[in-house]
Amino acid sequence: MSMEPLDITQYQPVKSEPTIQALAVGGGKGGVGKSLFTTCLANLLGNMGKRVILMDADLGGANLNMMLGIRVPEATLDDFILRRVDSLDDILLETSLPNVRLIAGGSETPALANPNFGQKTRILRALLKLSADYLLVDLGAGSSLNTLDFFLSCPQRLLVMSAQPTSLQNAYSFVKVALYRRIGRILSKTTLRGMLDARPGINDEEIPLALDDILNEISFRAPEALTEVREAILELKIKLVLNMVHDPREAQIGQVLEKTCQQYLGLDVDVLGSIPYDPELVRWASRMNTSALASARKGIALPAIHDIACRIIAVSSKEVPGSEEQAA
Amino acid sequence: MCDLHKLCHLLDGDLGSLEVGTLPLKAAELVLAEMAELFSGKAFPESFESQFDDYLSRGQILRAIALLKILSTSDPTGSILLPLLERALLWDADHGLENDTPEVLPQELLATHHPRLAWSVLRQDKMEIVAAPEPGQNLGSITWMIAHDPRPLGPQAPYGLALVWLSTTAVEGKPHRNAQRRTPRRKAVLQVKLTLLGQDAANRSMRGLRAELRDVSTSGLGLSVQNPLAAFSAREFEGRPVRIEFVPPGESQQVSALANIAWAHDKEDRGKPTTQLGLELYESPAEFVDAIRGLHSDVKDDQRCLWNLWISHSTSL
Repeated sequence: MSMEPLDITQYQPVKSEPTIQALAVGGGKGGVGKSLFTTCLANLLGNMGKRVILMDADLGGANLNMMLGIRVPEATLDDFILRRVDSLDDILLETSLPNVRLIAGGSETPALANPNFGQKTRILRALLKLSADYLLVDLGAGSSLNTLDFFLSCPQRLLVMSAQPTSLQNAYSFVKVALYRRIGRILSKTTLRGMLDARPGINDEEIPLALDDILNEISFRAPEALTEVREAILELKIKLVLNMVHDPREAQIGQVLEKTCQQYLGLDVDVLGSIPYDPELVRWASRMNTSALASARKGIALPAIHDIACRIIAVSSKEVPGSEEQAA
Repeated sequence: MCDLHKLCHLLDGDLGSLEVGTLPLKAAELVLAEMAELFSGKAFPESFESQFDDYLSRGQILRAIALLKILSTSDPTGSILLPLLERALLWDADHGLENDTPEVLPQELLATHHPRLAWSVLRQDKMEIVAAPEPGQNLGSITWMIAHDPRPLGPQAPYGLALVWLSTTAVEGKPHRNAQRRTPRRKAVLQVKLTLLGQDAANRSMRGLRAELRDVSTSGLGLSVQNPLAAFSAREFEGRPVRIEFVPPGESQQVSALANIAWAHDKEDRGKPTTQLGLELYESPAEFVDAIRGLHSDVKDDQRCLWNLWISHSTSL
């Protein structure tokens, strides 16, 4: 099966579809609490009366259904990819959380974990047609092309990281690779097609690694793409969530990522909020039962996630004209 | 005289030997084309590589690069010459910090340290023979003098002839920022302390300042100072002597050096009022240079910066 990359240029964040606000949650590193955060965020948005769809985009490693108490999902994304159903509406699962429905990720075969160009195109088109206020896309760990493409396709992008140096490293790499993925797609229409792809037999030294070098190369060899690349850099805004913070001072690690991304990638990465480490939430994650969820709701993390949810609504309101009153 | 010798005479400033004075000046660059044609389609002279190394070892960077430029006519893809250019760029990395050559460094001239990019720039840049400027007169920020034959050639060239390199690497009409600097600057992010010196540093709000290092070289530093209350203006900084101090990442001992604020301007940085400063070092104590070198790195500058900031962050906890 061919593995053509998704043509991101066809899937710029869609601004003409104000009915659904798509928000991707990534982070590069596993175990930083992306799925737990996304689930809590969905719960809080649902409690505020927003209609939320959670999508498990960790293709091949899907398990968000477990967090919502669905041990074996009746339908998954595999059913849509394999055309067993016609629409994503047919695989939406009701959950125990009010106003929250789930698209469970598939993992039946390796091929389904790596959808091809056509399959990904179909998924993305269908996602934008869903009727809801928010689509929360929970991404897997790592920087696979699928993960990057889903991340780049959403107009709002959250990066979850913990205060650990490994998480910092992975978060930075994730942002950098996402940016290069976007630039690579723009360059695919030019003579520099494939410039950012490492290929066997080519000396790594010949691949420009620093953004300054890449922009230099573009200005010399494909100047017609320079404006589009610069606009793509400006457009790629990312919000950072610090998770499992033991000490409020630890949250300052966000500034490390903020500064490095600004200085070396020209990207605005703003800290949206920090969430204190909450043993009750961790207990829920390990037990996945209703009583643990009830305890987690009284924990110290939820108020912080609530603040983040309010900020997300505020950002969405700015992007969708006429929705301020509703948000208020 | 073999072709290479002719070429070297040209690069060494013996422009008269090629009788360029008999040509109209506007057509003088044709001489270079003629020189290139001498090599076109022929095997390179055996000794070109040792000649190149000789220029490089003497710090005559412009001549070394110019030699490659002329020979590149016969090697447009760089299959033979690109390794030599890489050697020049490495010379920059290996010796650029220690050997303060008065000439421009290859990385500055070609505005990149990346060999393939540098080759592309080398091919696009131009060389010309022009009337030499009056002594002390600047050629401009994108023109570099490779060689100068001071023998006057009439009213058109009273100060003789100059073989120059015209940089075309300027993007959108601006010269690459490194092309204006004596030593290449690298990005760096680190908190530093700045103390204004001198009796006229009366304004107490300016005496001790927390600043953020933005880029470094062994001759100067770029800083950003937060100025939220607009307590001072950029003009108050210019020309002042300062002491700069910081603790290198992972070290416990502070390093410091004296510097002069060469330029300053107010700038809004991501919505916050800041003052940007350019410092020229008066002195370069060994431990300070070592610390600066530690902030330097190669293509993985960003990774280095990430870890420097992480170390600063974790030690502050």
